[in-house]
Amino acid sequence: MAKGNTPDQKKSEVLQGTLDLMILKTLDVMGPLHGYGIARRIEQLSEHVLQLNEGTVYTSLLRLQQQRWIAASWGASENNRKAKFYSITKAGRKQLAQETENWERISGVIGRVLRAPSEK
Amino acid sequence: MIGFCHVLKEQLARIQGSLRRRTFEHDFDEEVEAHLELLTERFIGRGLRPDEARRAARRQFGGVTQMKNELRDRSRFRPIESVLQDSAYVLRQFRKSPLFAAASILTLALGIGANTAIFTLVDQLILRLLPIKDPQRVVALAARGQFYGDNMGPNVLSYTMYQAIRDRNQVFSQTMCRRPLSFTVTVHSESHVVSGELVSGNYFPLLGIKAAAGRVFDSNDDLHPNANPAAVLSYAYWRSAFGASPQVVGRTMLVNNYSLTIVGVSQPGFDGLEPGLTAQLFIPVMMTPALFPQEDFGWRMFDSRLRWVNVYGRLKAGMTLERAKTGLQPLFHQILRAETLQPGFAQAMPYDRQQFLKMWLDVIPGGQGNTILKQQYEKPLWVLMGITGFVLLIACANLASLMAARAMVRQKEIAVRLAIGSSRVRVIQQLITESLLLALAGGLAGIGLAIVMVKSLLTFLPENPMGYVSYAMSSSPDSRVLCFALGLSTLTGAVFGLIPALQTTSPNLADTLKAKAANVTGGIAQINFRKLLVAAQITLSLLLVIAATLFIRSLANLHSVNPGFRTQNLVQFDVDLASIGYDQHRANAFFKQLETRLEHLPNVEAAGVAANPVLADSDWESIIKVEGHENKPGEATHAYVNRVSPGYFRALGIHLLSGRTFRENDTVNSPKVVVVSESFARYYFGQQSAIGHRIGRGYDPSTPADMEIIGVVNDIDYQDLRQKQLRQVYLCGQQGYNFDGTVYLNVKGEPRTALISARGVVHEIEPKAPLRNMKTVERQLEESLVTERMIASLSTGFTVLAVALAVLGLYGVMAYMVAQRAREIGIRVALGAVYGNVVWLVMREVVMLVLAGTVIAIPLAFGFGRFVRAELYGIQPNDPLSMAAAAVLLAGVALIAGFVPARRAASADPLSVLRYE
Repeated sequence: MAKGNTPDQKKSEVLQGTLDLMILKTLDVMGPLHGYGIARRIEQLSEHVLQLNEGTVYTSLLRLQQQRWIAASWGASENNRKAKFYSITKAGRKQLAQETENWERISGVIGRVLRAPSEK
Repeated sequence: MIGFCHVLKEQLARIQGSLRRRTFEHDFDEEVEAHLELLTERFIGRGLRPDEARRAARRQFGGVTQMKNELRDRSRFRPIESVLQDSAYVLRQFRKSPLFAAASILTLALGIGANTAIFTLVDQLILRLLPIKDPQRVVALAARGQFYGDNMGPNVLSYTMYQAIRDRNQVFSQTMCRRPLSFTVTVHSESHVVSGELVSGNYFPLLGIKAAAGRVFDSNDDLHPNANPAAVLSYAYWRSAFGASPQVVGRTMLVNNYSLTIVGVSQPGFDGLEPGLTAQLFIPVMMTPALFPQEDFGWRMFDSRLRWVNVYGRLKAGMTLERAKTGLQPLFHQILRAETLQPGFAQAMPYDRQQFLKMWLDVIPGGQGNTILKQQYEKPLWVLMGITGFVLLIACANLASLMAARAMVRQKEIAVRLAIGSSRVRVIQQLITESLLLALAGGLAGIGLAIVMVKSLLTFLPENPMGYVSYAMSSSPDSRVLCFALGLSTLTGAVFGLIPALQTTSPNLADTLKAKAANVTGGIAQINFRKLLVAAQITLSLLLVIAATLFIRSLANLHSVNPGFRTQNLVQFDVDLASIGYDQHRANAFFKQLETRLEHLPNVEAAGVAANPVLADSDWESIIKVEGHENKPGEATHAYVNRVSPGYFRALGIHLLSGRTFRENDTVNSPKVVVVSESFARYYFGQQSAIGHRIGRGYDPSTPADMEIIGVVNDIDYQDLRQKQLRQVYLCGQQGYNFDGTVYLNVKGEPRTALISARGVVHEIEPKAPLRNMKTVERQLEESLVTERMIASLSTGFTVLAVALAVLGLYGVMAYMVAQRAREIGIRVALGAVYGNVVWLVMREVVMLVLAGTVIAIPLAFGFGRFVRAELYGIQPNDPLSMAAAAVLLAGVALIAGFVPARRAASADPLSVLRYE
């Protein structure tokens, strides 16, 4: 079966790169967090506009880990359970800065394109 | 966009994930579970019932199983996982049948080890480039055609030719020359011999070799003859002889009795330009006259009629070897024409002049250095490489056969796996993993074996190779050798694993499988494949047996050669007086006194001295002019010359055929006399007596015929045992310039005691005299046969190995066949077949295989003959007797191996066999 195209996922699809960027930013601002915490933070900031399957957070986390932009270590959660905490690395901060700049430039361009008056 | 680097990072992380699969999955399950629980609690907090909360949590998380699967996929590197799985499986299999694993690994280790050992030598002597700057840009010069004058060694030019090319060529950025020689170094009145090179000033700059201490030479070190008494030590010599002391720089050392200042040490790893041999000392070539004050060498340094230096150039940027060759010809011919106008050519015959002007200059790659050892060992090494290649092929065939047998046993399992949907590729991958693991294990063991083999191989070589003091060959494999061994192992594994793997997994085999139970003989394709392998093994082994037979007979032929002088009870040693500053007078007096005193030793029958040793691959040729003989154009007029003392002929047992030999009263003041060999006398004087005729020595026809022939002696093998009927001329030792000589003693009793007392006598006369190469002439003879002995022993050893492997293969297949046909044989016996019938049933197959192998091998042997012709003496490569003997020997061994299972089949109780089935 082809992966990643279930209707369930499509509904809440957030651009992959965008989710990565949001997680990096979250970790940069909040410090070490576990997956659940990240999901809550994004939910809160997006004011429930972005509906995402929280599981996709973990795909992002794995990808970021494989690029060594974030690191993980075991700790205790709020309810005193064992949980994996993620924190941003030095390389991750660099990547975040780069991607932020990139994002701003592109969104600026897209904004201008969309605002351009239609020609008669 | 994700760049290449990101992809790479991800794959690396995946490989890590694969390697820690279990921890990773466990961690991940736990993480997801924690997340779900937190979500559930949150929903409970909002007032949901626990089971509703749990469902809501799962909904919000998304498909849990899907997510886990996706993450698992993203975190792993599939190929590595299947390889790990297969490897673990294979290792379990090996544990179940350790004998199979051990036998296969041993077989491979022998095959790969033998190849790696020979390759280690090939690599060091033939392939490896020198540790110099841009070795590919360095070229060597060699004049081709007929030179007019004297020549010292291969690929040499005269020093004046070198100077002219260096100053006037357009193709090289730098040009240098060098001459390898041995030197006597005296420290605290004790002398020892070191090998070194006379080098031009730009030797080190051209090669890009820096100084490890002090400085190396530059162009200021070769401006005027004898003006630069300097020496550079090699790094290794600096460490071994001077303890790497920095204070050595600036000190003086006595070399050939001449004081030189040590100006520096060359960089580590550089041992001169002879691969496999070490140069320990470098001295400016301009010092040649001072260090070698001989009339026939040092004094002739600037004589264009003497060629003695190797010339190297570094190609200018953008210059190719071919263009350099073309570019150098006009200059070369200009120099040649100028030389023909010099006084040295005044008397040359028109024919010689023509030939001289037809010469051309060859440009050859020089980055491998000058290769004395390569010239001697290249062909033998390739022959050995071929032989070990065959051994490996035979080993491969054995393993392929074993693997086929194993795959056959597992065929049902494989068929089932294929039937339930396992992909063919996956099954093949597993089978290949098995053979590759075996091959790699065999390869590793083989590398270890190769180190041991090379060590013992190096002991074959004579102690003092061609004037060099030591070899620089090592038995430890470098990265290239390791790559070779591991590459070979992988290739081997793929070769012997792939064919059985393809065969057992072939789709139509599944059909034959169904019929298997009913089939009496079973596995036809598989057994035919194995028979094919056995026939191939017989072919290869027979080729090797033929080769080994030829080499052994060739060596025996050489051993039975009568060299024309006694080799038993004869010892020799070299005394070098030039290096301790003797002049002609003192040297002659020394040798005269030495000979007399040695002859009076109780255990010495006779003593003699020669300027040039026999059977030492050392050659002294001279153009001879015979009074009354008109040289025809192109006629070879050279003879092999030696300068000997009166006692020489007696000591070596060379027979006087007519006239007399030298006497004590033949001196510098009496008329010059010579003794010639039988062949010389016959060539020039036919049936007439040679006594009283006069000859002269020199390429120049104006040479005076100032020497009278006083005696004729029998021919001897001078340079080596392969030479026959040499025209030889013996000059009188007391009438010439004799600085160094080889002393020969015909001894009674133990040679060792005689040598010790002889050494005492030498040092009584001159305590400083350096003695070297003390040995028996028998040993010298053995050393002169080192290449032949090496080939004969190694090819025999490898052949025995190959035959053992092949016979084992034959036995295995026959035993298997007998087991397969046990039922059929049982029925035959039950129906009345007698012992002989059953034996023949099996032996028929063996005979067929041996015949097939032999029939294929014989024409191949004729084809391969030309590769070994050069290594043979007194025997042709297609010698029918050797071929027949080899074939009979191999057939005999094969038939015995086949008879064992045949007898077992015939003696089996038919009832028990049938009942078992």
